[in-house]
Amino acid sequence: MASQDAHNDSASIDAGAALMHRIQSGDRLAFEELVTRFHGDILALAHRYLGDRSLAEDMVQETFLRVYKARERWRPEAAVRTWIYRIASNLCLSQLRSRKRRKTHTLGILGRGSSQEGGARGQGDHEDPDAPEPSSRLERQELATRVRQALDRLPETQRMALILNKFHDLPYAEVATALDSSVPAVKSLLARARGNLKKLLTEDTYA
Amino acid sequence: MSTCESIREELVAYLDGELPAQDAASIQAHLAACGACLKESQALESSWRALESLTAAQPGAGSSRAMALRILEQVSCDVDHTVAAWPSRQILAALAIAAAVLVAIGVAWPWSSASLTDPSGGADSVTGQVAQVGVEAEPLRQIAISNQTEILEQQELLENLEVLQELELLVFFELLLEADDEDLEAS
Repeated sequence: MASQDAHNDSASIDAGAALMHRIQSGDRLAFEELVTRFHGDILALAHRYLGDRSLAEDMVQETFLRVYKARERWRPEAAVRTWIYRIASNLCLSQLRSRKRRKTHTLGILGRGSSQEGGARGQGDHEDPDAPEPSSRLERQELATRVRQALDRLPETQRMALILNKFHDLPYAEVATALDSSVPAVKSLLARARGNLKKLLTEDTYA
Repeated sequence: MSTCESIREELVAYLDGELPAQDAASIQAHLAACGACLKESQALESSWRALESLTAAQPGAGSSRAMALRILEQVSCDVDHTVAAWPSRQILAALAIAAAVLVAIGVAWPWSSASLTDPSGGADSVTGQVAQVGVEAEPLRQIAISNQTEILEQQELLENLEVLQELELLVFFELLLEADDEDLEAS
């Protein structure tokens, strides 16, 4: 099973590299294929990280725009998936930082503002057609809201490391590449992130 | 024996399967014997599982291709605007000819201008010196003229290149060549 996964990963890496080579040689269709291949992952990453679908979609478009503009700089040594995650992570981190700056500024003007930012409101979210029954859906929504709030309270880089590791199955080495960091630093970052998350969710439960 | 503190430092990496087998076995053994660390491990796993309640958007049907086309269109427009900001190709061609003429004049000037440093002046002093030692002067004079002229030509060429670079004409030529390549590929 593990060797099958490794085989699939390797095939996926080769396919990504082949697409990038075709894009570098001016094949526009290959770019469409690349976007189709990674669109879901990058949208999910940005949505979970930012908590806002429309912002996430903007981030995804900007990510692929940068991928295309930087296509000549990609080298086969870099796994395409990690390279794209790196671009997306940087954009999401910048977006969150600038949003925080704006929020601080707004709160400074308005005094005590409402906590409208970062909730699980998911502006523009679509209803899930496979949603569970209403009662369990409500419980899930409550849990999702608590998790969202806990995640939003994590430091930006801890949050990104957590999402990359948890939802995108990136091992520590790839998280390190995506965040331009080292494996020991990521190990420490994720240990703090998991500890903080546990603390925040526990506090929330007993609050 | 491992302390609880050192175990907890490694607990997340253990749960993530990122520890070497020997270290993982050591933590596993500790968890089997230490209730407090086991509880901590379970709490970490529980909060980790809670993350799964966080749903994420998925792209709509056909949206990936539409986005790719929008991006390609946008990049193409950016290139068009860059090129449109420059003069037309006819004007460029005229500028290129003018620049070439300027370079040619720059190269020819040392030969025609009497006011410019005359390479034969330096050569005359060489022939004067060699005459004193009774050597055939004319061949040496020709070599000296040739060497000095070459140096002046190099200087003129460098100056002209700097002028072209200041005018950004060289960058523009590269842009045109790239545009031509893209036209060829598109056709």
